[in-house]
Amino acid sequence: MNRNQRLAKYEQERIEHTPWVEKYRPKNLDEVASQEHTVKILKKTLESANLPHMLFYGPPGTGKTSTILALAKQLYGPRLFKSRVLELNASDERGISIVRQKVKNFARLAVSNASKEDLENYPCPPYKLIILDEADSMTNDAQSALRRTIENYSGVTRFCLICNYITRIIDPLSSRCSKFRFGLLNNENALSRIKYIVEKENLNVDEDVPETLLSISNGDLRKAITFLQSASRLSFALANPDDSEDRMHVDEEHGKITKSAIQEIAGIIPDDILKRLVTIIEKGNTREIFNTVQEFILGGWSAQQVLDQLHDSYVMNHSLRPELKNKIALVLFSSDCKLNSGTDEHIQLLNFCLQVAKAF
Amino acid sequence: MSLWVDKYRPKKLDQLSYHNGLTENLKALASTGDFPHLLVYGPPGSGKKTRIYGTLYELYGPQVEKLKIDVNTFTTTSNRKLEFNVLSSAHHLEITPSDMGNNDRVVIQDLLKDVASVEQVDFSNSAKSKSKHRFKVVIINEADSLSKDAQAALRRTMEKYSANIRLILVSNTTSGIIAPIKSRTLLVRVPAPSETDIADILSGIAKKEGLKFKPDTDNAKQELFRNIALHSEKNLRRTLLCFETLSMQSETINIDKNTLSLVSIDWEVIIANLAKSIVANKSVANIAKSRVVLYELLSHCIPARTILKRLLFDLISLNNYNDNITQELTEYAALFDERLSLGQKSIFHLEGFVARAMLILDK
Amino acid sequence: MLNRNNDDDIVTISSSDESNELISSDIENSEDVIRVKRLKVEQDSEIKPSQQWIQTYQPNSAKDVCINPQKLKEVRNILDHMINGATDTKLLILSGPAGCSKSTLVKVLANELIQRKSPARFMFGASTYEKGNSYTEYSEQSIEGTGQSNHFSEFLMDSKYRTGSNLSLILIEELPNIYNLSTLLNFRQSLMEWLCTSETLPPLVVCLTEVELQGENKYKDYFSIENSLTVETLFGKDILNRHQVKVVRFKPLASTFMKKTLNNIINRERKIFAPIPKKSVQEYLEGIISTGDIRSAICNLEIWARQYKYTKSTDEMYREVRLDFFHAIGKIIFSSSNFETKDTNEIDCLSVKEVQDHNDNIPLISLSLLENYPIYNDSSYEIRTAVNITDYLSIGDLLTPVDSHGDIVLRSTRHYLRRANCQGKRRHGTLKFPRHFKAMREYRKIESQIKLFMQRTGNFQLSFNDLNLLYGYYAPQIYMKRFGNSFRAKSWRLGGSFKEIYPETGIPIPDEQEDNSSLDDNDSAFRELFEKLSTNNCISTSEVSDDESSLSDPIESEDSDDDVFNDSIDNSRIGKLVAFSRSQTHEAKGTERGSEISIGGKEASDTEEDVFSSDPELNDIISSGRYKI
Repeated sequence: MNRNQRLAKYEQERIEHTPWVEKYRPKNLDEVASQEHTVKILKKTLESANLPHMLFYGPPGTGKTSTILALAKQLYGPRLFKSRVLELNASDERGISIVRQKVKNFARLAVSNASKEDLENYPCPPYKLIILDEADSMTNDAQSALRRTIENYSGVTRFCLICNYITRIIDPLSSRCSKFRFGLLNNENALSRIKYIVEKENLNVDEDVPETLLSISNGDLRKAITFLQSASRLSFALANPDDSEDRMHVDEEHGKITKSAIQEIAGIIPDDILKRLVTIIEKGNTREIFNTVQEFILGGWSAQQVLDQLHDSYVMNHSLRPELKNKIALVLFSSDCKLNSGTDEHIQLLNFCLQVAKAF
Repeated sequence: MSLWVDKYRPKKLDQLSYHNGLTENLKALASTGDFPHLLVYGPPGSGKKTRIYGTLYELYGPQVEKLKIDVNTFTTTSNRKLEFNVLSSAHHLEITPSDMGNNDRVVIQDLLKDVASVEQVDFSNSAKSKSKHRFKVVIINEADSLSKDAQAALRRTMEKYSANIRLILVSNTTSGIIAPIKSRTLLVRVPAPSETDIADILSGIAKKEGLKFKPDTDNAKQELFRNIALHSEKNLRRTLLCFETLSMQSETINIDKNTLSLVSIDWEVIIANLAKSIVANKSVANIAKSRVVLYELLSHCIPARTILKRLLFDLISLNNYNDNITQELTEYAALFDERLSLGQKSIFHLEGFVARAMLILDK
Repeated sequence: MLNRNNDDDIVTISSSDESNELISSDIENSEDVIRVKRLKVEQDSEIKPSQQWIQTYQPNSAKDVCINPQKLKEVRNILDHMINGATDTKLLILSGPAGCSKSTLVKVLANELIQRKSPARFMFGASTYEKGNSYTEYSEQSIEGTGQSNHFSEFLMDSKYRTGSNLSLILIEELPNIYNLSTLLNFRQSLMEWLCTSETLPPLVVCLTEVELQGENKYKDYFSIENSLTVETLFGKDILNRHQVKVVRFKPLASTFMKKTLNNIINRERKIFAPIPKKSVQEYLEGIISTGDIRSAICNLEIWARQYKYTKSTDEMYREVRLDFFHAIGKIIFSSSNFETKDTNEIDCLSVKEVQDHNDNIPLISLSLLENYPIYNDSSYEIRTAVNITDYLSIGDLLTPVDSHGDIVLRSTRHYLRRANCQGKRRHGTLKFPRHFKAMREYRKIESQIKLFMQRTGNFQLSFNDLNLLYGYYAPQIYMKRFGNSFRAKSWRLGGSFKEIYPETGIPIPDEQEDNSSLDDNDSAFRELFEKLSTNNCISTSEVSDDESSLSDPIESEDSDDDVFNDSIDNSRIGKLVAFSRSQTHEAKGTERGSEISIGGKEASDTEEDVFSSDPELNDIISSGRYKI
């Protein structure tokens, strides 16, 4: 008896530990936020149950994986899903041989029979679906090997490649797939999704939090949701310091999630601190700039983050002369490039600030 | 007999004296069953590790202080053996991936897989175990020096073993960390302590150790403590080492202008002198002489980047923050900094900077 | 016209038939019956194409060996004594550049001397007599895979019994894989055992072709054995200091001896040389003789002569000339005057090209240029010039993986120095060898000591940089004061105090003594600290004391270690480290524990920062910035 209880408890905890990104993945195509065009086409294919090979591309967090998973669910239903769908992720071993082996093994398995019940509710087409997430991180060799594999097994399988940059997929591969572009989420859809989660999770948030989340995550819904979850964990912990047993019953007493909490979690520099840097740069006193940069570094802010936010603040600032903006953009570019090769943050940030100050 | 740095290191979160809000957060997190992956970042000597161990103490109690050291070996594909230290207690382990070079991905994956599988077994057959946290904490130091490859692998591991393992990544900055990791961890920023924070800690220690000062006024002491803090770039570890050294110099600490010059770190003095000589004598012969100093520092394992940075800052302050000079020096320092990253032998780039600095100052 | 040349030898050859006779009479005088016979055979039937001259003209008696007669006498005496047991010498080491007749001499002498000592062996059935019987050669090829490091000692064991009626000279020309550390140690160990044996032993001779600087491993730090294979690096001090060992060093062959041998050959291969003008032959000879390498000279001569009718070229196409290292650097720094053209640009181009043709170790050249550009006109020229040069050297370093980066480095340096604005008479300093390697050696020494400190004090939570930058200065001071007057050392720093590093004018030879003396202060302080710390019950003493041996002499073993970087890494030191780390481990768990730490592993991690490494993996580590100097 003890064992069952423990298992149940374990299961419950497991659900609690599930990232919200997984928990709130759309269950069907209708729930997919934004991407109306793609969804419309896919729905058509759902009707005919004849799927082409597909290539989804677009920036992270725009719902590529969610869409294909939702589609698969609607195609096969929950029971068949396991045996009919293979998901390969980039972080797994992705050598040519491994991809080939896994795909081969999976494709070779006979198409499992659909139960009657499933057939009534779902299209259950007689082929399997292989999802290759983050296909652009595959080497060119692996990609060309994949080309043969796709042809060989096209009778029994459909492939769905997912990538961020379509340019990194070799032509022969992309020409075999119908391509779907996933644009950045428009704010309304994403916002409503976040609000939906807030509501479902019974979170106590400040009004401006959903907007902050969106602006921080730049249209990356996954990022936004992850941040929200982290913030809720933190605030929850603060509100319930000791008692972890009956957490399910104290929903109402969640600590409030504030904008600044979200910013801290995302490693975003608060507006007022950034503003100070901007004004000091504009004033152009070298010693002052030097000291402020030092403060930033000691404060633990990463130069990359400072640069990103300064970028937004300068580029969005319409009161600046175009020539000045040009100059600043150039400095931004070169500093960012240098930071990317693992240089010293302090020197680079100081250089950036001095260069911009000189441009003013 | 341990150094003050170790002697006065707080063991529990309650004993921490600054960044109270942060400490609260950590405490709250530790007290709930749910504990996310953490990315703890901040400048050196700001107390990242102390906070992490405080949190672990909160989670597991004094058992985490019983540390042992294993030397693991790992055989690379090219049949070379790598050695790395693993520091562990019953509930956590700590690794420094830079020991492993570019095999870090494989090493970390293996290690984590090991830990995860062991923990799973433990869970299934030990109903008696009282521990309410069935995950093990893995601390990864210098996480920003992990290769991109290893970071990508970590991100998968985080999801896969999230039931058994909690990762705590420690790094000086978030710049070197890939976005997927940043979004999967709770970011904990530990800024450097303020001068006042440091001064408070130092005066506490002074009292406990019964140090004597001359003049023995509170103001003078506060002044001294603040100066030590500034001198040590608000690096608490460095501050404490410096303070202890100072206290060892004589029975009574004479507070005057020269006090701190007693404890200036040798290599910093060498760089400061190099900067002075660059300002004083701008000639090809002096570039050649500077090379002696540069090699002296490099051969003593002083990182080239540290030399460059220090030299730049010394030169700037010697020139009194002159606008043009500062701007130009920094521009070239940034350039050579990049070359240090891309190149192979630092001496070329350091000497390049020295030569360039002379040219700039010669105008 | 031909006789304008003053050299007598050349005149003799180049003139007429008369001189040919002179030479042939020479041959008859030499009483070399066998060879003359063979010569006749060859002249009758066409030369067998399969037989190369180098084999055809292999000397059969000591007199024929192309060598300085005095060296011949010296070696003959030593060998004679060894064979007859009239000396303590048990190991003879012949060292010198390639192709200076070392091993040929040994083989020929072995035949002569052993034959003389026990003629009985050769009395019956002279047909069974083969040259090989009088000497036994070591060869590694036979064994693959397991036990390779033991192979050499097994060979020596077997060879011990080649005495008495079975007498044979043991010749070691081919070395076991000494680049593997354990094999090297094993090699030394077996030789040591050989020397210490009291039984009668057959004479043992090692022929070592010394390789320096421009060996195959051009990208290695040349202070290691990997590319400086010298008597010192191979045998180590312990062996060389024993009185049973004799070392005879050979120099490149003098031109007179080479000329004699080569002229002999030319004379006998008249047929082939007939169509070639005498003048060309002489010109070509001049060239190949200057290398001092008889083997390559004969090979080159043969190929050149056989191909002459096709190419008609007098170019010394197969001549192997190496531009002397400092010569090359000088050409770039000072430019060169021995070109016909007056156009400075062209001279620069030619200088650069010449250096590039003869030196492919551009990283070393770059370092040397950096070391030496200030000596131009004793540094009195504009800073701007120096800025430009260092800038391009720095760019050259970035482009190291690109093949043509040598071009950038060499041309830019020459270009800016040409345009350096200096008045009056130019006075230059002396060329120096880059001190980079010296610094790197220092770097490794300090690094290993700091790591040792980390191990001993259990400061595993600190990063290496913290240890070095902060603890390195403060910790010793604090400890010193704490232990008060009982602490003998005055002032020190982890890894030793800062030391100025200067370049040397010649190509430096690693000096083992120097390192030891400079380390002493620091070492004793280091050792003292650990003694104090352990008695003062400071750091995990309970664990440490389990292992008495590691406590009693933590550094001693390092002292006995001549030179940490001279690959004579001491077993015992590593062993103790391992033992130490084990003693800190309470429970055994898994198999990947300290017991598996091999010296190889330690060595590998020690050399990881080797910037010249050709191992791509290491390069990655290096470019990740951590192991850089």
